[in-house]
Amino acid sequence: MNRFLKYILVFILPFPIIAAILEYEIRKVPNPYKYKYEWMQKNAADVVTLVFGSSHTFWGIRPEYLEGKAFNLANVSQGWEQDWFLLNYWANNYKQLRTVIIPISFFSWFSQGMEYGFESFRCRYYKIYMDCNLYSDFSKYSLELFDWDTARIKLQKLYSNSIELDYDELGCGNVNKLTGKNLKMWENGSEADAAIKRHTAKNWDFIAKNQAIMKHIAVFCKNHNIQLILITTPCWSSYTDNLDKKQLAKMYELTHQFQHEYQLPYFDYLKDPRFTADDFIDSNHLSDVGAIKFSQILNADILSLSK
Amino acid sequence: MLFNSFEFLVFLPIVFLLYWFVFRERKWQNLLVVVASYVFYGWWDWRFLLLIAFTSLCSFTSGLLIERYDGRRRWQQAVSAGNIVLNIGILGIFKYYNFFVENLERLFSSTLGYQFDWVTMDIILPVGISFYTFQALSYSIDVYQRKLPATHDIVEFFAYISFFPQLVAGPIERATNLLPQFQLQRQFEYAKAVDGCRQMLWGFFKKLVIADNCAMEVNQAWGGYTDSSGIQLFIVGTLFTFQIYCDFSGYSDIAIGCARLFGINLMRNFNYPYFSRSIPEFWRRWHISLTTWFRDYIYFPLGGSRCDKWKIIRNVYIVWAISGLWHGANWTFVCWGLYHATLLAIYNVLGINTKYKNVVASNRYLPNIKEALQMVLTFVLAVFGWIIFRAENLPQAVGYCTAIFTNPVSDNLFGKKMLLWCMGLMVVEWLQRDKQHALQFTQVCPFDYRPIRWCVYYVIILLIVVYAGSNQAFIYFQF
Repeated sequence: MNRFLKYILVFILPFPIIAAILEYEIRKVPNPYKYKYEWMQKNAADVVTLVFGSSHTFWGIRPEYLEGKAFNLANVSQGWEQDWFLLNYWANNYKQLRTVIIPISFFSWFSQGMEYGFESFRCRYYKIYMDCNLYSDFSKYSLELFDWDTARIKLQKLYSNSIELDYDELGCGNVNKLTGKNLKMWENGSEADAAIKRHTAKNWDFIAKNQAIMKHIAVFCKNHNIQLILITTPCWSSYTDNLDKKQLAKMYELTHQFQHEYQLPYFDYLKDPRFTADDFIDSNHLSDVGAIKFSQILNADILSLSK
Repeated sequence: MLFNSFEFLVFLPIVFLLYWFVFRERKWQNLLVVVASYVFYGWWDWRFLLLIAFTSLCSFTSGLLIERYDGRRRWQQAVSAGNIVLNIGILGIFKYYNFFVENLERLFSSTLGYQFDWVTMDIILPVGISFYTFQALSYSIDVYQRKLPATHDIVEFFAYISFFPQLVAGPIERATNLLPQFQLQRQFEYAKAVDGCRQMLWGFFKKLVIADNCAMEVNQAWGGYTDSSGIQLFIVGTLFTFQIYCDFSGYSDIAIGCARLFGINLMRNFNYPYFSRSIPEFWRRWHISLTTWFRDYIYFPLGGSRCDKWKIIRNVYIVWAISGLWHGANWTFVCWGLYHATLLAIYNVLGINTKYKNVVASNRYLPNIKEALQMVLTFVLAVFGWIIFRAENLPQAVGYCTAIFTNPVSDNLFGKKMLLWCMGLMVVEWLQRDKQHALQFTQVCPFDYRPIRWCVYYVIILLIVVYAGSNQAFIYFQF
């Protein structure tokens, strides 16, 4: 037995060493989570406007078009749970923060949370790079190596010097170039169908949970004298026309209820006719052209609040 | 808990160390096996534990009752039959209830024009239920047939039913093989444990590198079969043939290897089936634990081969229809079973069903032309069988098989890279075809030198790490 254990230990010894080296190397790869955390550590005191939310705002709002020093803290699939964590994380550092933009998407009120969806792998980025204490499950979220498929791609990019940053210096996603649009899927509507299917809630069991999170955000903003602005980003008709009507009605009901309860401005651009086909990369995400246009419109609307 | 999961990577060493260092007494080791197995199984859904515990308890009790009624054969018969009905009943409800209800509804509406509104149920199929039910059945039947005495130790019986390496996808162990091992004090054997590790490594390679990558190609291609060329469809069918082999035999290798770490020998489940020279030989080499189960508990009681030719053929069809249904509640499985029954019946009529029991091309590097042609024919027949097996419904199975012969040829073939991997695997297995598994090479130069062997292991691990396909559940878990 001792002989067996000795050989097994010697045999497996290289694995933790190699794993530690690989984990260290992967963490060197630039990513938006790490960048945003570091940016906020340095600039939380000066930031005037913060944009939260999922891919809709990550790719849809360009902070340079907003008034004052603005930063995009949104990330793909980021939910209100993460938004609230991030907003609260620098609570003691904010000195200039005046505006917080939170998107309300078709799915937002009904979402169970990132941890339970097919994008749960992203939870580890909050834990590893943003000091997030929401996830304690060691087996899933503590190491990049646990998501080996993604880790492998990152390593390949690192060693082939082909890393391209998919975010700009103000945290906005920069890969949704109109030139990269998949016209086939745009025209046949297959992407829209898949997105709607993905965004339609299986049940409405998590509304109370989401209301509680939004309440935290609203109270926080009120106590810190911050203007909380609710928005719904524009989407294309292939998406908006086919959304589940009951869920959409419920989304508006909950949003208006929340808006009135906390006296908040709400800008709904979901079916805004000012946005044309070229403003979208797919049915529910703005293209680089659309993001500029939307950011300008949003900025004008925010400015109009103070008039 | 999946073998190919982080949880199992933590679970196995803990159980191993507790088994050999803390619980050294046989009884305590058995108790640990039960607890560990229930943790392993309950990881999917704790509610499954109630069912396996109930199944185990029923079979255990039936064994005791059969023993108590010694001399009263009718009572014994009633207890044994009761246990069979109970176990098959549970299996029937969880696995086949909706299938039968839906088919009865269809039958009544098409023949009588009457629309029955029977209720189908939203039932979760417990993982591995067919495997442990058959294992539980084999015990009570063996006790009834006086092949082994009833056990009075409930812990060792629960360990026999739930032993975690083989709990969810076999090998379907016989009480006559596994139960006595839980009744004896186990001794740690270095050579056995090391060989178990090798077998596990080979199993992981087959599952993660070959099966999972084949699965990605197959899943991608299967839906759009009407647009693919005939050759492409045959390639996809071939890839599925390798997928199911590597998936299932990979699982069996991991299970057998893992059991050896605990000093337990499980029966062999695969014996290089794609090197078979006939379909009967193929079935002596594929899922051996299930085919021998059907042989011993259904085929032989029906009269087996000791009756006239037509009855033999009838028996073959009965066994294979049941075998097909065992695999799942779908007509495709039944047809797959009947397809193989037909092939077996043909071999039977030709009188060549019992040929080829030895290793092919024994003591030679290459098979002769006749053997090669026989292996190719058997393989192609198996491919068509797996196409029926993989299809979602019968029209798809027929459509797919027809399209192989009718769809035009195209140059744009995919899956060729995976075919090369499969060929590589076949070469390694061919060289090792007289061994229990492909990594049993310690006596062969230069592998008798430890550093060389370790290099081989590291290379295999590297291949797994780099080329592992996206995580697919084991196919046979659904059965």
